[in-house]
Amino acid sequence: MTAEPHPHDRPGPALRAEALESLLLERGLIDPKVVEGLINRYANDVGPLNGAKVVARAWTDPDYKARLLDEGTAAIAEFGFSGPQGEHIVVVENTPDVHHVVVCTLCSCYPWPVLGLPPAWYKDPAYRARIVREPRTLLAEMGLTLGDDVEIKVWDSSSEVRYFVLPERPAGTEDLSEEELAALVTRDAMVGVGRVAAPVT
Amino acid sequence: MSLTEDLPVELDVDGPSSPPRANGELVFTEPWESRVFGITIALHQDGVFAWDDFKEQLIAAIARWEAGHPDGEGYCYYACSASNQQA
Repeated sequence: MTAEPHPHDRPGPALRAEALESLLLERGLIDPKVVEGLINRYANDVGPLNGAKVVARAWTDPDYKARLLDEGTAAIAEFGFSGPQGEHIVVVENTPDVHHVVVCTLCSCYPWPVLGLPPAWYKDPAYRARIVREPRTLLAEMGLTLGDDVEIKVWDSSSEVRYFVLPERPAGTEDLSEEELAALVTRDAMVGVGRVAAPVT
Repeated sequence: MSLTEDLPVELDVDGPSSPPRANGELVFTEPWESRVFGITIALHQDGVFAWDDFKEQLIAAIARWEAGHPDGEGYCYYACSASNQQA
């Protein structure tokens, strides 16, 4: 995408988009709130594919999982995923007894090659402070309620080490292929503020 | 079977009608791109047009554009195709 003028004799795309939206609004064909909601859902729910592929492989291949937990960066590089902010990735595995969650208390260190760019809340000072001070409460507010018997471990990513959560494989997914499993994995689950939900059949 | 199943439209990951992505996530470089995208989905959701019809128009619009311009402009197509569906 460039900011250069459109090569044909029509106004640029931004103006045309605006005109289209005004026209549709005038005719009552769209509701701006609905449009806004749809944009947010697609921007947030269509998750990072690279990380999801890594998780799905770990769920289906025990040898891969062992390598991933042992040497995250190298195992992730097997997919060809590497680059800035991915030099030293440590993978922590969620279990029924221990739940891991990742933060960067200093700024917004994040494993880019697998998760892309961090979401806005990850950079929010409130998240960075509260996930350390009161993880259970904050996770519940974010929609993840953990039992009192589940230990919560908070990992502080830095420019040296970036953490990546291997979520629990949901029950009822025994028959799914690696590709189908990857489609279930969300960004929130790989940061540790969510769980991977069982598929709706 | 996937988490995104309850979204109104399952977007193509590959092929000519797949929106611009980075690491699987949608990429909007300017606000109008996301608006046009949202409007298109909203119109489809309200039954103004079927997604497959839109997709056909979209692919045709991209082909027409690319015939004359080697460098494409992703969401322009959404605007063109959504307008055509309206017409």
